[in-house]
Amino acid sequence: MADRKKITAPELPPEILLFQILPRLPAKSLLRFKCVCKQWRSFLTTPLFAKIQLHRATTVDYHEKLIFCIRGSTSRCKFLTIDCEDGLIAPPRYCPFPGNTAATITSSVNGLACVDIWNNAKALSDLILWNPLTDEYKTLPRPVDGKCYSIPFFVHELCYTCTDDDYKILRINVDGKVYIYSLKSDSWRNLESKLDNPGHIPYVGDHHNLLDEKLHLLMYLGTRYVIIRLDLKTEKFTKIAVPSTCPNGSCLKFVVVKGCIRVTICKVDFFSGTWTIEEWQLDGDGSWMKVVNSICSVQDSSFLGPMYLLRNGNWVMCNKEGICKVDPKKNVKKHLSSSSPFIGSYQVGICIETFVSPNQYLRVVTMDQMVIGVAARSSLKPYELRRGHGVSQGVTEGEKSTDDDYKILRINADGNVYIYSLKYDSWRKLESKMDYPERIPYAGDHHNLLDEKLHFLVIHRTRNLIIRLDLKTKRFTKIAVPSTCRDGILRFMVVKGCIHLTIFKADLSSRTWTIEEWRMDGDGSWTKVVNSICSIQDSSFLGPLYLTRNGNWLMSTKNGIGKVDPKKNAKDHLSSSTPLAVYQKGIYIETFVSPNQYTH
Amino acid sequence: MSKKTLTLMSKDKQLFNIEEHLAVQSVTIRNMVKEDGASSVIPLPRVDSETLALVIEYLNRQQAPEEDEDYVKKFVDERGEIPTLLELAQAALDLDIKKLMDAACMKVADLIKDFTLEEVREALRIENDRTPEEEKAIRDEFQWAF
Repeated sequence: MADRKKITAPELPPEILLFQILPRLPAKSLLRFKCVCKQWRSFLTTPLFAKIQLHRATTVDYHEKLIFCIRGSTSRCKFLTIDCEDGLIAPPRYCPFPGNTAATITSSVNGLACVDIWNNAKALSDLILWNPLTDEYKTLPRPVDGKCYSIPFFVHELCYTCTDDDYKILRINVDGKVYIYSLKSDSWRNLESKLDNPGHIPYVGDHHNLLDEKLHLLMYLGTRYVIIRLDLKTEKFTKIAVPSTCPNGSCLKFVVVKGCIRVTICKVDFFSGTWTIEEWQLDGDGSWMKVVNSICSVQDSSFLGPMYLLRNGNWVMCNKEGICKVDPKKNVKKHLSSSSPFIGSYQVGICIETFVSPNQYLRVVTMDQMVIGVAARSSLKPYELRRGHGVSQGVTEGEKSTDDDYKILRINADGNVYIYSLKYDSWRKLESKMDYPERIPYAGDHHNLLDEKLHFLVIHRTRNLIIRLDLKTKRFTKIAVPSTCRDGILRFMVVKGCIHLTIFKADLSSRTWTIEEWRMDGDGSWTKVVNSICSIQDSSFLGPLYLTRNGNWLMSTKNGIGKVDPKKNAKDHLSSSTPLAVYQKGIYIETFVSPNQYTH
Repeated sequence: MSKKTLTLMSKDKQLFNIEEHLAVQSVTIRNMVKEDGASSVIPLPRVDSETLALVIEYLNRQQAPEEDEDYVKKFVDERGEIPTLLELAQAALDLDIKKLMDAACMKVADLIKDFTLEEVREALRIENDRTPEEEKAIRDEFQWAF
């Protein structure tokens, strides 16, 4: 046993583990393996990993899962999943969101489910975007016209559009008004196109109805079906007649096969106990071509009806004994589960397992994740970046800049230093190594560049120390901080061609904040330029966040975010969301600079 | 037509000969051959000789295309040792031999998917940098997966 400890770190770059092995693991193993080490944990929660895993989960490792929501006796409902491939059942667990009525899964895409949940107390329902694998969820803002009811006269179709990398929910009201929610902008908007005759849109739970950013829905017009197609780019509707052999009482589902939308029609003949399954392909000109016509003689009087069409053309059907899967081509029936969705208080949905987060656009990736991401895309040897933490970065730019380039400085825990150049889209290692890589606090500095020299703070043996990197000579200089700056919160600022250091110190007993400002002269000596004891006696202050260019401080307070002008001793309230809770923060200015400007 | 032979050199400076038409299954080698004819020795500074011997054995296989899938599977199955497979996967990635890389990675994933955390760390030589408290917090969050 003692020998195990001696095993040295692997010679292998983590690239093969992170980018090749992890995406091939089953989702459940990945959840467990978040515990293996910090690097895996942080990598497994990156949007980059979610994308890699999603690619496999929608191609080679495609597993559709039925989700059963069970009405809860407590304040939350429970759900269990059944794999449509092997029939494996995951034990029930609680839904993360509140509500004790069974959640209705209106549609799902890429492992995210759009859930409508009735709230008894408020007498209206909430729309929730939920990843049943990772338990992440997001309660969506209410549509402009208020309530979301669980009745089928409203449609909530979730889809993903690649061209703008966004998740959207299409909502069609009873009156024909159409709204689209965008996850990226987290808001609803009303479409100009209206549906003339909205009719009845049956709840079909389709999830293979998107092709070329065109969404297909079935609509029932009292006597006949019609397909409505919404082009998500032009936001216009087209109506398409269904194939002529499609009678009432049959079940229609969409499936995408080889770049074509197909409609599969499942018809039952109760007398003979046979099911006829027809498959029609919709061609570019809107005409139909019959591709499959199988009479599936599953002579079983216990069949109640088809539920879902799986991507491979198999049908999930429910019968009196529960749920089964029917392969119409082979005429085979497989029993999946004994709980029947029409008995008791179940709701059923269908989903795949991915790590796509409903909060992905909210999250500012941490720098470690960002650097892994950038390294992966720029196909540099990412093994040089392994085990990196204590990353510092600065984006350098300016009118006087000599090479018109954006750069990211990365300092690893071992003191190795890398510079990324946006122009060349590549990383390289500097010859200079940092002697003091002990701890670089994340300061989010953005006024720390002067004459192409980048300044940042290092905490060395509990003391503050400034490191200056000359981006032209690529050399580091260590600069001692002023004697009164051994502790406190330090930020840089450029004033009239000099680097200024502003120190923020709290005296908790008197509840006062002291702000000092020091100017660094050319010879590396310090002159105190401002010394204001700013007596903001306010116990609600939690800590300074950023120093703005005019010398004001942004502070986080118990009530949100505030701004303090130390010269005038004035305080302004900026926002009521407190940044210490769930948010990640950053500071920036608005420009039209493109991150892809050099890729022409 | 005489068959041209290439020489590959491993990290530990061992030389391996392989016929060019077989070697160019590796996209990396194919590109090198295209660029400069690769008349001299091709150095592979990240691949050790044992792994390179395996890669060469794989490239030299004489399988009918329809049996190829099975052969690759069997090939990696017979080398069930995780460190060997990882080295092989890395070499296949560097040399851009997609089928071999896929099969080796899939095999590793299959082997480790039901491992306990301790077994994963041991097999992949990963140091546990989490305190028991941190580990428990994640465990509690995804209780159902354990």
